[in-house]
Amino acid sequence: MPVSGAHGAVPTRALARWTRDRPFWAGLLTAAAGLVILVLPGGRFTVLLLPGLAGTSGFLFGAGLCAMGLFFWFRPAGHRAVGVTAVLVSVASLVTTNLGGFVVGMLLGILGGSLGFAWEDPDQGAQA
Amino acid sequence: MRHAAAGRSTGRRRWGRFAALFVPAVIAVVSIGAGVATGAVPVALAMQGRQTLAFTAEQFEAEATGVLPSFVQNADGSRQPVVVLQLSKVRIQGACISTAVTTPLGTYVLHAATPSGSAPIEVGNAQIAIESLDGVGAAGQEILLGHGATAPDGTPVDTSTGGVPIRAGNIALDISATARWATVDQLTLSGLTLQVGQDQKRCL
Repeated sequence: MPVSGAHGAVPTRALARWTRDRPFWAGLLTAAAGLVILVLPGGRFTVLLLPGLAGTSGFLFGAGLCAMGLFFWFRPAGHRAVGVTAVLVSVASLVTTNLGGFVVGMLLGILGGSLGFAWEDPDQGAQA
Repeated sequence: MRHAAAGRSTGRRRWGRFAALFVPAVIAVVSIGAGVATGAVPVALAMQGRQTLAFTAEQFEAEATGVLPSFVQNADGSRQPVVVLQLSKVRIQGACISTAVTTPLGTYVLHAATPSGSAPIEVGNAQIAIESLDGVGAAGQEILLGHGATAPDGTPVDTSTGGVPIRAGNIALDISATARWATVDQLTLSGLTLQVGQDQKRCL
């Protein structure tokens, strides 16, 4: 608990501690990948769920990747399984929906999933 | 309580594990990408937006399986009728498709072409929600509707599976249409060259 230091520094240190306690960048990249895959079909968002494989999987994979990003942030204990799943979903999206969000969403998801898988839990750092 | 000395080993990434997941994923992506480019792996697309496009093809075959009215909702809450055109078993040979996309950075022309005589572009199922058809300039040496195949003695043979066969040869379509959304399933590409540029040549 940081009890010393100026009041202005406490929120920054708390934020730094928070980002260090979880795979922060993995969660951010994976959620961004989900958003790209989800939003890409829409120019005007008049139809949320388009028919066909691409519309359905774009919706499911995009929302799923967003959820995995949130899992990285708020349930970092399962980061390995979530990381592998995020990479699998991103690779599958290449075929099933708009070439993985024109490749951008797929690349973000692979990066985010791999980073999340490689993250080292600080509480177990001593035994690793 | 974490000390500064132990702080170095907390929240770090194990780059060996990163590579263990990242490298196979990249290899898989490259192989799938090669499969898509050669037509071995079909892909699915779904797009929304409004586009006008120019389309020419040496050979075009499809089966129109349905024309359905539908509604889309505009951003201001009003509902807009569209017509959903369903096509199946689409085969396009020697195609050239170009469309102009206006972006904040300027107007870019997207030009996609398959060389003549190569393997055709095949689409399993396509649905296009057409909002309006403002103008169609069509020229073709051969446009056949409802004519699936021809028996050796010249009489037409019904080969459709419930749809209206469409066949066209050396067709050039200048379509000014507003399509709200389009989904394409089982799209196999082969030998497609895609070019994007501001001074790109258009198909017509």
